[in-house]
Amino acid sequence: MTSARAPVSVGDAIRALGQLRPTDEKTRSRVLSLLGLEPAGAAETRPRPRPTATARPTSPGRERPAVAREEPEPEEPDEDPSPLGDVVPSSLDVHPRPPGVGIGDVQELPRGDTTSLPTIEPLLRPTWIRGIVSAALSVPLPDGPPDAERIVEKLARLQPLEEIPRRRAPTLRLGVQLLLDSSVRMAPFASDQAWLEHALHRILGEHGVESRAFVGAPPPPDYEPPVAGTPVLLLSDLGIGRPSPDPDWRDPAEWPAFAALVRRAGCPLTAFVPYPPSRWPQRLAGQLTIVQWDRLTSAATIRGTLGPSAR
Amino acid sequence: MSYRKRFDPKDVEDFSSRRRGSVGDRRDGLVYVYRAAGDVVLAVNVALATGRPLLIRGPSGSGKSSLAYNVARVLGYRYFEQVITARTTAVDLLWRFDVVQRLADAQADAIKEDPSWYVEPGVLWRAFDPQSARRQGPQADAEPKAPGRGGRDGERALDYGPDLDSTPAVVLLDEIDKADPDVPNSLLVPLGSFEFTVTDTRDPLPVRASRKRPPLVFITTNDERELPPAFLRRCLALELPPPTPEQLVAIAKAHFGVRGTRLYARIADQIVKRADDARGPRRGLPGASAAEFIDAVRAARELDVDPDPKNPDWVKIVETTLSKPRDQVTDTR
Repeated sequence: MTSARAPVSVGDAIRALGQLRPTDEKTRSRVLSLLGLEPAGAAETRPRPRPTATARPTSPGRERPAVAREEPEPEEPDEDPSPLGDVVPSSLDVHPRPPGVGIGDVQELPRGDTTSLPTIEPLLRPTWIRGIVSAALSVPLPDGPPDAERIVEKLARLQPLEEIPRRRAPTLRLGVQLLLDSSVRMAPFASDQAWLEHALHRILGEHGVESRAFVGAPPPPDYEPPVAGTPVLLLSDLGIGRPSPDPDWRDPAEWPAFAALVRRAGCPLTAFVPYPPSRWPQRLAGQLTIVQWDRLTSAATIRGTLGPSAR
Repeated sequence: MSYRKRFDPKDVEDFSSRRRGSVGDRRDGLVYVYRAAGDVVLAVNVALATGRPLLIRGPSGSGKSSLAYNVARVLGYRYFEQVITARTTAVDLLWRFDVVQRLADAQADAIKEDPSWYVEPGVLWRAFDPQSARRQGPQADAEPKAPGRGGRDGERALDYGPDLDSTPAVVLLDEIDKADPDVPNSLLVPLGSFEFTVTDTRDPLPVRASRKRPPLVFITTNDERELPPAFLRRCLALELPPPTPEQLVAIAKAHFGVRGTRLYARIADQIVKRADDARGPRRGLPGASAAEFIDAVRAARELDVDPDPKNPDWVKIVETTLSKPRDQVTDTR
């Protein structure tokens, strides 16, 4: 049996030990463990698991195209002390520097300094991610209490009530279709995409996330929007960060057509874009909801972007 | 383990009478095998000592849902449960305002002036404060429900006792991970301090559990989605492991009687081994559950099939009770 939880408080431990009065160390240790408090000296130093592209779960039948990337074999699965992880892998963690390469007379720097860079924090703050997901992906469904105003209006007009109109309440129960842009332009944000996809799986559940990948501009030929009402989240630069030459570049004119396709299917479309609004394509204004994807993104900024009437 | 126990069950607590051998999942909790159940008894005692909800994880069929009812019977507590669905809101667990009834009364010119009449207590209200809950709603001051009789959809109640108002309650919130991700955070105050305020009454009505007799709250999750850290901080966490062969035999005895112990042991050994081989830790899937084992025993008894691994009929039974296609095994929704 294991206990995986954040600690309650020392007060609870005192109360539990005071009332139960365990007489052996093993029982005392188990009580503390149930409370999320590891006994002194029992805590092990474990490497924190990090979400990687290969470790990402994908929906059955909707496998994401394999990305040519060599990854070390995953280690034994471990408990995640931080629910969503608060770092993303550094590229040097994935591709460590080959050993023993020196150039002529130049003295090689100590290897410890060159092979371990500081860990990279994800673009979205881990402690805000639940609020961000809720603000960006909740859809209003008629699950709320009966809508008294609409009921009164019908009755006042002597119209029959064929069904009880209900107020709309935001919910995440429809899940999300996640579209990941795996073009060269998004390579710097690949780890952030993986982190966010991992976070969505943990918040919405394995069955609540359908992941699909595309290169450049959607839609791929076999693209089908999800069931009506299901939000679609796009992780892309919308062609902004175009290097020269860019093998994945497509005409941005394809985006409005894609947005129209999703809209016709009755699905709200939101794009997380890792560039500021000043660089967003003008022609996409009003076609889809664009959210700036950076460290300042919060539930409040997303609600501000969506506006009071949206979703 | 040695400590002072407020909850000290027998190895097997069996409150069933005529139901022995009934089909389907035994989530009713009439029978629970505490023998070799690891930290279950300790966890319940820690929950009683700290007043914290006990969050129970474990594979399907491991006894998560049935534990709460059995604990209530052992302790002599009242019992309430609510099965959570994707549409359950936090307020549903506290109270519900029956707007439809009020509308019907208004049309029939029989509306009650006091809106409190249309407020129906939820499971947490009934568990926290039975006295005020009994005064509330259309069933106000009705006779307490008979054992096992349910309330609204998804509710089940065991609301009786020699002294209703002074008897603490066990509450089971089943499958909290099915709820919208915001629901657990909305329950922080009611579950943390055992109090909340009803706002649909004419005047705000505070509901508070007795400090001397706080309820014991069980919450189960299949871990289909992560729970908020703030919610986890307010819970004790217990993970039920897959049962051992010895524990399975004890479970079979409790369900089918002591005759046939050798049959139970043979099936338990085979099933645990086969399940470990087919979907054990290497495949990342859970081992055999008690519910699957009971299905296999029941099939062997009812169909009179010898549980010999060379018997093709038995092989078929094992395949249908355990070796399910991967997508069926992993899809617990």
